[in-house]
Amino acid sequence: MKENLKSEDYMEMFKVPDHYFEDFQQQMEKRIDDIQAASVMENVRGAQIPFFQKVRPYLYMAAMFVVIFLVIQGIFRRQTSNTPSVAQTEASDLYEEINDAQITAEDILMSSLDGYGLMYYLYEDSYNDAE
Amino acid sequence: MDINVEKELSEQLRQPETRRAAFNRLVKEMSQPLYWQIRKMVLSHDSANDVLQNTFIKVWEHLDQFKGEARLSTWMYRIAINETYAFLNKERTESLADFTDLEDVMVQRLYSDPWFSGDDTARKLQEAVLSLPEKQRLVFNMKYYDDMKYEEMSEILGTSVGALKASYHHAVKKIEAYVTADVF
Repeated sequence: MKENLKSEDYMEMFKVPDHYFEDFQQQMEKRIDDIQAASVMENVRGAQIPFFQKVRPYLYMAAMFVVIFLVIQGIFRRQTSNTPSVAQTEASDLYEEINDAQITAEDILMSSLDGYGLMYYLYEDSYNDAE
Repeated sequence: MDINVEKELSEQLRQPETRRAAFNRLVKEMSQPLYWQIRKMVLSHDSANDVLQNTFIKVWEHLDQFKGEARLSTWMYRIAINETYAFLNKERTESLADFTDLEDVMVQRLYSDPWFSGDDTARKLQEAVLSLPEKQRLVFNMKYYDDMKYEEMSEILGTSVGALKASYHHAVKKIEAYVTADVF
C-alpha cells in the first residue's frame, strides 16, 4: 500500500462539487431557520388551543372505557341471573326456617347415625329377615 | 478545530442570545472535517451530504445536552458516526430486501460515481477497505487517512487504545491480503 497516501490524496480521489461547503453553510442556516420557525408556530398553536379542546380526546377515551365496563358488567350479570347454581338452590333450601315444633324424635335419631347406622335404620326389615 | 476556539464556541452555544451565531460558526469550522469522516464511510457525495445535514440538525437539537465534559469536536464526531451507522443500517436493510450485499452495491456505485476519480488501484483499495467490518473500517480510515492519535480515537469511539491498535493492525493485514490476492 502507498504509505504516503494522505487525507489530501483522498480528497483528490473523492471529489466535491464546486463551492459545496459554502453552499452547505447557507443550506444549514436556512434549515435551522425553518426548524426555529416550526418550533415557534407549535408553541403559538399550543397556547391558542382552549383547555377543554386539549383534554377532550382524553375525556372521550375515559367515557369509552366506562361504557365498555358497563356493557361487560351487564352481560356478566345477565348470565349469572338466568342460571342459578345448584349450590344457591341448596342454600336457599337450607335457609328455610325450621320451627322447633317441626323437629321430631326421628330427626334427632337420624342426625346422630353414622353410615352403617343409617343403612340399618333404613333397611331394618331386610336385616331382620336375614337373621 | 483549535482548542481555544472550541472553548469559546462551547460557551457561546450555552447562551441563548449567542447560540445561533455560534452555531453558524460551528458549521463553518466543522463541516469539512465531519464531511470527510462521513464520506470515507459512505463513499458517495450525495449520501455524505445527507448524513452531514442530519448530523448538524442533531447537534442543534441536542445542544442543551452538551455539558462540556468532552470536547465539542469529540461530541460532534460521535454524532456524525452514529448518523453514519444509522444511514448504513438503513441502506443495508434496503439492499437485503433486494437480496444484495450493501458492500457490493457500494463498490458498484464507485464505478459510476461522477465524484470519484481514482484509478483501478484506488478502486481496489476501496474495495478492500469495504470488506472490513464497519467499526474496523472506521478505525482504519481515522488512522490511515487522518493520522488521528489513538487517544483521540479512543475518546470519540469509546474504545480502549489497546483495542484500537489491535483493530488497526488487523485491518492493515486484511487489506494487504485482499489487495495482493488478485495480483498473484
